Amino acid sequence: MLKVESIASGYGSAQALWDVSLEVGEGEIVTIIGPNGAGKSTLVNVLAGIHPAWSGSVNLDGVELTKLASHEVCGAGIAVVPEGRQVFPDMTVADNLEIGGYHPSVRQYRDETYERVIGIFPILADRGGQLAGSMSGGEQQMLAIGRALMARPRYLLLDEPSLGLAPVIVENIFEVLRQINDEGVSVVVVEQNVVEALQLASRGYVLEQGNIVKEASADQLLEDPAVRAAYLGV
Amino acid sequence: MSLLSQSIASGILIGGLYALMSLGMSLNWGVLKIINLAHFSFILLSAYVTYELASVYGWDPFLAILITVPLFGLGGMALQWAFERFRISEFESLLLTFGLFIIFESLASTVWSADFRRIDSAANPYASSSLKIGAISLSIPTLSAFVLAVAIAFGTRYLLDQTHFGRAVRALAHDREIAGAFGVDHRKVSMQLAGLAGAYAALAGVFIAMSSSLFPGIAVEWFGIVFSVVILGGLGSTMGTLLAGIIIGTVGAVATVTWGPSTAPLVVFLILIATLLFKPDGLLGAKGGV
Ligand SMILES: Nc1ncnc2c1ncn2[C@@H]1O[C@H](COP(=O)(O)OP(=O)(O)O)[C@@H](O)[C@H]1O
Ligand SMILES: [Mg+2]
Repeated sequence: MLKVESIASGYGSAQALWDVSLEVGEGEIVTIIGPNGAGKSTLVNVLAGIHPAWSGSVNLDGVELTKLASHEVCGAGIAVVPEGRQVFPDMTVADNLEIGGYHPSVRQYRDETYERVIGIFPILADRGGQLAGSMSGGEQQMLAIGRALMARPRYLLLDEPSLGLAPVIVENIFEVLRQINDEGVSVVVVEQNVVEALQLASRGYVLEQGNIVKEASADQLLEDPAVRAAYLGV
Repeated sequence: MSLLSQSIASGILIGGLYALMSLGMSLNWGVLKIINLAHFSFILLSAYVTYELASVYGWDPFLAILITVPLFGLGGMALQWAFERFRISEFESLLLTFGLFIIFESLASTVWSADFRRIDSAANPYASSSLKIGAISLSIPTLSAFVLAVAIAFGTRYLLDQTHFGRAVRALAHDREIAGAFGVDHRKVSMQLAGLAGAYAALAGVFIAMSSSLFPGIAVEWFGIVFSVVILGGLGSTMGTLLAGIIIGTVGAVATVTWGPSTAPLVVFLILIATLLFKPDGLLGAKGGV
């Protein structure tokens, strides 16, 4: 269980998250939706240990992540697919995957995890020697997900995985997320592509101006007039 | 003609030493974003320590490596620890290490005086020995430095390309935060890299002590050469640094025999300026990459 309680965070004196609490159960797919600038990326980065929380708690199966050094967070079982993918462009695809499996706690499973990842994304094996920066956006997104899976997360965080991708590729990626979830990985996906995200997830949170303003099942959110007006334009 | 070929040969060899002096600088700058002028002090102090061990304690100068490499390797790690601890920016590092450079220079003056120091030829049989190939003679200390520089450049390339440590270094050079999200402890990895850079400075110092006279102000004279090699090679580029060292060494030596010794620094600086204007990423440098 990933339990987030009263997280506040921001940049310098500008507060971006005010009092964010949410929960993600074992094996769940949860989505966080919200407009641009709502604080979604800040939240993902706090959960992944990339950005510090000002206060509050992020607890993963009893381990308090906010107390860990940022390079220790992934060892606790969480991995991130950051906004804009952020693969290492000057490194090969194979080396990007190696970095995914860098943490000492997962290094021993490297070969086994690698087989699993290229089972999901065979293209990553074919392109192993290519520089990540020379791949298309969709391929980089697959690499970013593959890199995160190399860390053998129990909780996978994705920040706008559909950003800038063609609809058919988005569909592919969401299908893969379903498959990864079937294998037992809990998924937290931040999206502006609200319909797709709510069809994938079982529950959702709406984040606005740094506050969770709504929590409901995905079906309820899809029917919610306010959500439909704000995010679906209907 | 034989003068020219001799100077090209010596230039190539001295270029190896230049590369050895520059490689650590380039890694510190390219990966850790630290412009470490204390690197020059490490080379200088390593040379003096070598001088001391050979002249006073009668060590074979090559053996000085056993002391200087761990000493300045640890020195590099300690400095990097402080840079991390106080979150020193690239620009601050330049000012801060300039201060350290001055302090180490006066330390050298205090301990070894401002006079020229050279290891006695009795204690340093290598200085006057050379390998003759036809009409060309290659001095043993510079030849050894060249061979070592080539080995270190290739070894470092291998380390960066093929090991967990190397991949962590490259990931760190591009994006510290994302690297951290996958378990790269930037503090630990940067200290290890800075230690390696310090060790390279120590090696360069040993060969300088074997081949030339030392005085505290000599380190300032290395600035132009080392900065030219680092920029021409491309920040963080190991093979670029080796290539640039050889180019600068050769061009400097040819300028010396063609137009006189005083023109060598001029030519070296012209190369530096031309690189900055026309090829700012250097010969083999990739932006943000190593
Ligand atoms: N690096 C940063 N420095 C300063 N402010 C930032 C930074 N990143 C984001 N912000 C601000 O924090 C708020 C939340 O941003 P973000 O988490 O990126 O929102 P979202 O991902 O929902 O679009 C915004 O007001 C944004 O301008
Ligand atoms: Mg965002």
